[in-house]
Amino acid sequence: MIEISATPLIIIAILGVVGVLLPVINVIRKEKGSNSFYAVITFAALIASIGYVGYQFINENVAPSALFSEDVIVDDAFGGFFAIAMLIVAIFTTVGSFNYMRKQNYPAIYYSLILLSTIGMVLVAYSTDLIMLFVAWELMSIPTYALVGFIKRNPQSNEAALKYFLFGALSSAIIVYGISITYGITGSTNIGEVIHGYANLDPELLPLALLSIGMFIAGFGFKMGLVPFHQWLPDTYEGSPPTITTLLAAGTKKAGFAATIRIVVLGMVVLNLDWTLALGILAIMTMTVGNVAAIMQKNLSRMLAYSSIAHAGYILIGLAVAPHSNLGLQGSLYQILNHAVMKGMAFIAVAGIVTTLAVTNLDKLKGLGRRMPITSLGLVISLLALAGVPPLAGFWSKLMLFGGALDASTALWWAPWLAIAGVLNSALSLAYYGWIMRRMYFEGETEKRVSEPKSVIAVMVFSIIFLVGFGVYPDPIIKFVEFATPIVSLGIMP
Amino acid sequence: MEYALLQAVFIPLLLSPVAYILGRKMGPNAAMWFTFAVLLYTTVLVIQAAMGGTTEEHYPWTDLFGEFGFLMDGLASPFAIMIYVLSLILVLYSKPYMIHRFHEQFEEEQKELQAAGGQSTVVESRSLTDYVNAKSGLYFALYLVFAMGMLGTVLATNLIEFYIFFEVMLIPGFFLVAIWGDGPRRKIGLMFLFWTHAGAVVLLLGFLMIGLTIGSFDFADIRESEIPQDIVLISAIAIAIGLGVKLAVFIFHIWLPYVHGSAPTPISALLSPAMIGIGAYGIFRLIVEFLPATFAELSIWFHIWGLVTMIYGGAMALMQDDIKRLLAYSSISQMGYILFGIGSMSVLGLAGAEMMYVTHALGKGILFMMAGIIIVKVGTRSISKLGGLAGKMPITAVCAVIGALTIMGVPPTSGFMGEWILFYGALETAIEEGSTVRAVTFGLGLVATALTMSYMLWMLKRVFFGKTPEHLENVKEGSWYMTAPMMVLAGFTVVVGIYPDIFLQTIIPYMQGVLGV
Amino acid sequence: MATETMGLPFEATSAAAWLVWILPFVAALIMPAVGKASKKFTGYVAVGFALMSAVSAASLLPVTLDASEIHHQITWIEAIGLKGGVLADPLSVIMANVVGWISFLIMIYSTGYMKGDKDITRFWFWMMFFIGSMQIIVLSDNLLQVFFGWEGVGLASYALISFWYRDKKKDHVGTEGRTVLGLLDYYAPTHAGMKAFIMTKVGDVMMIAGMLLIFLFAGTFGFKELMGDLGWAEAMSAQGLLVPAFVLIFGGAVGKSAQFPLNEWLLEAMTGPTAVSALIHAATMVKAGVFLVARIGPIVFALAAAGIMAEQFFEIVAWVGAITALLLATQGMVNQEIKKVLAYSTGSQIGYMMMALGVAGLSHQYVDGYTAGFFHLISHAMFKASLFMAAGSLLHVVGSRFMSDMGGLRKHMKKTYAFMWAAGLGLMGAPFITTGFWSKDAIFAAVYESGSEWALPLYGIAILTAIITAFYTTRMMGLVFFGNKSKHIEKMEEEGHHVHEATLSMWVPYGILAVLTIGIGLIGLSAEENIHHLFDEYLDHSFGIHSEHYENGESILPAPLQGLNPVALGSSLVAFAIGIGLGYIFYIGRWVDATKFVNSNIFFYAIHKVILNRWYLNAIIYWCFVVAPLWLARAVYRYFEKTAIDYGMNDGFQKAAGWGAKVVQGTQTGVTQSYLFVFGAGLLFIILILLI
Repeated sequence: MIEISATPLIIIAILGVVGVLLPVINVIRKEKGSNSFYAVITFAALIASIGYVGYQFINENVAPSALFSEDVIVDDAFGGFFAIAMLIVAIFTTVGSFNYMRKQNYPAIYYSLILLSTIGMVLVAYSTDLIMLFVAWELMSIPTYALVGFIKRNPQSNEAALKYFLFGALSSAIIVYGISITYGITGSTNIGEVIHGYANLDPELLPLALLSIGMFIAGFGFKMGLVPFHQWLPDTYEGSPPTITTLLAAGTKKAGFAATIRIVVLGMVVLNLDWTLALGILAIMTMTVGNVAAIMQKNLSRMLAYSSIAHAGYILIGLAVAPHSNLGLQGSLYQILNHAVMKGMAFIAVAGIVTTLAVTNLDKLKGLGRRMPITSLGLVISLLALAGVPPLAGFWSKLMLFGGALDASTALWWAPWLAIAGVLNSALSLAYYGWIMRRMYFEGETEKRVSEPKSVIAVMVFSIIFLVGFGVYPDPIIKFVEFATPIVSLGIMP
Repeated sequence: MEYALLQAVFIPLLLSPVAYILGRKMGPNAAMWFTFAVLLYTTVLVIQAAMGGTTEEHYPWTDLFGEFGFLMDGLASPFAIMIYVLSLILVLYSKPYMIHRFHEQFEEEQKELQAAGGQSTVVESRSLTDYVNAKSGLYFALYLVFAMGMLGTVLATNLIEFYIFFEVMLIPGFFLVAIWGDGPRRKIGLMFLFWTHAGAVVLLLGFLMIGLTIGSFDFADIRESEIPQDIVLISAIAIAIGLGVKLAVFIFHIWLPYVHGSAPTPISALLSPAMIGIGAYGIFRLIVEFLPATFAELSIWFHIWGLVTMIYGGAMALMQDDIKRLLAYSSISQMGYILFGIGSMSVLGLAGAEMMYVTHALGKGILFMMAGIIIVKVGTRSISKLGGLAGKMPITAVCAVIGALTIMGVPPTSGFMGEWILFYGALETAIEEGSTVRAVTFGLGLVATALTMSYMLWMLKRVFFGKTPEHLENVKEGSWYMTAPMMVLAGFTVVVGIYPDIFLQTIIPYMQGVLGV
Repeated sequence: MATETMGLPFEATSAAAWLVWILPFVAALIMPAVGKASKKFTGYVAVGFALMSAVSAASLLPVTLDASEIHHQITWIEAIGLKGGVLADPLSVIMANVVGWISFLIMIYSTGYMKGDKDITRFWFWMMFFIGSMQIIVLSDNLLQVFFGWEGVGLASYALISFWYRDKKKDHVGTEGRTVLGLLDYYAPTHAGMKAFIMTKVGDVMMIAGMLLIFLFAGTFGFKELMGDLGWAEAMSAQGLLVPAFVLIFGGAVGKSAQFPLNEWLLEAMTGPTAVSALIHAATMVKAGVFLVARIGPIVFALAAAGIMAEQFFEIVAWVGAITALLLATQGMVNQEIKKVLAYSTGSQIGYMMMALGVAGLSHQYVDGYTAGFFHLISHAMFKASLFMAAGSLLHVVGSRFMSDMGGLRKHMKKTYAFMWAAGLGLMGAPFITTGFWSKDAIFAAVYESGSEWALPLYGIAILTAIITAFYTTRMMGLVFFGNKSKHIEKMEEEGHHVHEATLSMWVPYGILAVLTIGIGLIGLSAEENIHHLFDEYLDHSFGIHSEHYENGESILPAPLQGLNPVALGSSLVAFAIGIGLGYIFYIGRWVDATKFVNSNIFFYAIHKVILNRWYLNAIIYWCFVVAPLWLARAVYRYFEKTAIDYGMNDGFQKAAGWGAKVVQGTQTGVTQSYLFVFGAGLLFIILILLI
């Protein structure tokens, strides 16, 4: 039985209570627009949560990674890792919203939804039961549907929400279908038992089991933004408030990976490993399409959305080679953490730009380096980190990913191609990241400085320190990632 | 001295913000002398370390990828010395050139402002002094980082560390080109970033393959015998291609004429001699030293590739009218020499190739400075608009001739010492192996020196000799800040030419060790 | 520091050997500073240092007396075990003196000739550099160091030929507007300098290849070391590389000495100040090639004694010399520019020397040809320096380089007239009174007596060349000093310029040399004998090459007849007579008008035209090695570099990426239905992959 002091429970407790209380407070106070008040509360709750996660890690109360328990959730390092990543994103979102939400209505509900969604994200990573996972998934998703369409008078936002919801519903249905097949075959929804069941599978049922994998990949792939399940993504990212885009791109996307690792990579590892090829193909498609499509974009948000698709492809490399190389999955986790920071910071920068200058069109970003120097610097660092330029943190995770792919080459003939595709793609990506930098710094040199939102600056400073610091001295993070990464190998049995 | 190399690499990085602030607050002079002092100190450190024989420093870094170390041995020391000496000298040169460039850009912006008129938001026009101060601070800060990146690359002792420095020198380079370049500088800056990054990631693939197979990324642990044959070959090719982009060898050379042509001249003078040659350092360290058997297999291809590059670069240099583009193609050709020497696979051939790096750094440094003086003083870079400048700027002309002689390989400049040793190495292998291909490449290589001579002399003729066009009647010699660095390098090339032991003493034993002679 | 002094009682001379070439460099280095202080003073410094260098060379003369040598080495490039040093043996000491003293005279001449030039400092710098480089070649003890000097003279000649770099019309050579095979035969100084440097570089490239081959097998560049252990030569011979290596080194000599087919730079080299031409032609650059052959020839010959044959080397040397001698002499007959006539003559005379040195190796009496070649080098140095300086005076006075602008000058410039005759007779080989006669006669004798299968054809060419030489020299004298004053001079006099004798500092140097030409000529036979004796001992001592004429150091032939071969003597006299006679008929007596004579007959006309067009050699070289490669490079640049590579890899890549982006974005329709369709297709796709 799980202890009452387990990390997930505490997080649920803190965030849940605050999340539910916020609207209540709102009703009691009967006043609108005191955005900062709610933001501070939310921020405090999130800090408390992340603090607790950190406290648990430091006191070594966390179980090593991915021990499947009979409970629906488990307090392991894997979940803790994701919790940290998600909470960072939620904090970014909240801090960014200090400024962004100032002119919007219903802040209490906004922050409440963020918190609830955060609970969902965190729980996805901690779940060891398919049903629990699905519940967490929905807990994560449903608030975001509302958040994407939060700006109710903006038709673009509404359209984004609609598309998002439509595909979200579809993918949920597919996931449920996958769960039902799995249950039908193995008679259990506990992932540990599922592994057991699959290990002793009647060969005639294999196609059915594979079908369930397909369902899971497609269902989670929607959140991860894998090609060809990605098409809602640019529209939604572009349409939704940039702070929420942060949450989607940096947060919920990662939950998709957490779920995929829990179910597909770990849960199905005993099955026929054909799914690795499927993930490999998806990885190449995803990064290539994402990068190529990003090249000619005129809109910053949209460009970043495509970049985020491409990054899903990189992360998927690690998943695809996970059974054959430990480095791969470590790289994925590392990249997930980095991407949470990099993309989070990039979108917060966009949010800052939108609130101060009300533009996202690249052509109108000329001279941004002069107008908003700190935001621009942050954006540049995040872009360089996204491109994997050393010595920024983004480099190390890519290094481990590509290394993992090469490492697996003895077992998988196609694995080196993942590395090659990844390397070429990251070179290609520099073309459009460079394009943004060019607009910001080398054009419109006569612009005048405007005042930048403090909250955005805070996020930028934190992220720059994170990216540069852990870029120069990555060892702590690498160790942490190694600790958090489940050991996947062909012999794994509960 | 403890931590000498660590200091030499990181002091410029750590102090670069100081240079920025100094420039902003106190103007270009303060920034320049500060930068000069920083580099002087670090250069002394580097030279001291080089004189003390092989120096090593190790620092803990990551468990997964190995340690962070610096190694100054017979291979690295000539590279390291040349990089910092050039960087040091070019600090002085930078000031007048860059102030000239800042003024130009300031005027452009003023014009833009006037053209924009009332449409744009009202912008106070900043005074010229503030503008120059801010820009020079930024310039010298980037300059320091650039120099440090180059040094770090040649001192690295770990594949990943090597790669990181390799990329670190790229970023300030990109900004320097894109902010202060000529022509379509933004596009060219991006081109630079993109091409060299693309090369670098291919290089990274090779590193990963090697590192993962042997389970360590430290240079000290790399043993060719532990790597399966096919993997070592593929990774060697990946490394060669990655470094080939940096070296700008034939097929991968196309970014170079743009970048060197456009970059602000002090940066061209650093890019061309110091930076692209680091590709050669990489080949020495990573392929020749660590993968000797594979190198033996590939050497003939390096040889031919080098030959093609040197002839092609030379032929294209003949066709240029833009003086800096001409020098850029010449650099391509010179990199061909280096690759040719590497491909010769003999002690003296390899030593000659490394001497060529030193030589090219000296000669091309002078020539780019010459181009810069012409740009500043004459205001054009089109050779067809120049002529007869020898009478107007005698010091520049004399130094340029010495630089050209260095590139041509005429004694008593260091170029000759590099070249004959290099060609001797090529001949030695050709005769020892009885290889017709190598004999032919040796012959064609010698013919290429005549080609080099042709384009260099023709350039000198068109720039410095002949009739002086009327619009050049009032041209004056460059300031001492610009001519003195040239004279230092010119003196240096003659000294090395007469007494090459300065470098050969460290190079030859290293090469003998590498080839097991 | 390894010191090795042999055979001499005083060790100080090794310092003198170093000083011979170091002093001119010191002068060159301090020249800019001197020039800053006072331009006038630069000339004194140059002359002074040239004198000191020459005196140092003279102080080495005792070495020659007992055929000993000074060999002093220092460590140079320790890393590869190379040493540098000086080697003063009879060959190099004599050469050093010839170079030193003639240069000294030319320096004196230059103080007058270059007076008032505003770039005088640069002039002195390069002149001293030139002399120093030449003395390095002469006194070095190893090939690599020789190569330093070798390129040094190349560099100095480049700088001095294009000394008047402003390309004024008066400094060009050739006739404006004249074309040969579509190429202008009219060269600016800067072009000429470049041409000289690049063309000699072709030779240098060959030389370095040869040097490196030898170094590869011998492990040394040193001349002494090469003679030590002959194992390297055997190894090379076994691989068939011995002759190629030496021929490649000879290639360097071909380039520097302007031998066929690298002869064409020499004519354009006339764009330099005349003092420079004198230096190049008499003492330094072109003589360097001959000296190099004299340096390495004995080694090759000595190898034969050890059973390692390399005869082809000598055949090639002899034939290249013979072809050059004839080819360039013919062109001297028709050219209108006085300096070019002299330049052709130089090339032709150098051809003689090469022929002699080559023939020497083909006979058993190596020393005969060797002496003949070297003696001719000395006598040529004297009369050619004199002629060039005198021609410089003419140019100075008349202000034109064309002989058609001169004429009738003998009354105005009596001294020059007399000295030019003296030196000219030397060039023609006037019997018994000039050094030229004796040295040329020695060459004829050596060729005739060599007993080689090529002896007769070579001899024929030599005699034919002698006739032509006498003819064109007479022609030059006739055109310049006889006949009526040209329109150009008349116009000058109308404008108030007076045609007068050159200044003292100018005519004294060439006067001295002209007198020496005659003076030594009078004792020519014994001079030759002395040299012969000297070299005989030297070759014996240093290379173990014995002469059949001598036994135990005593001559077995009666002294007066030595070197005098009746056939050679006779044909030499006849050739001189025919040449000067024809010249007299056309140009001094002017009984027949040369132009009419040429035009009278289609055959003469054709020959004249071919010769005037330099046998089309220059044009062909330009077409093949300048025009065609440039065309090719342009084509590659335009159709490969700019299109295939540049466009393909920069713009093309950008376009392709943009196109790809458009295609991908095309799928992003914004229509939800299509998204759903894609989603479903993707699901199917994955399931298919999994199931297959």
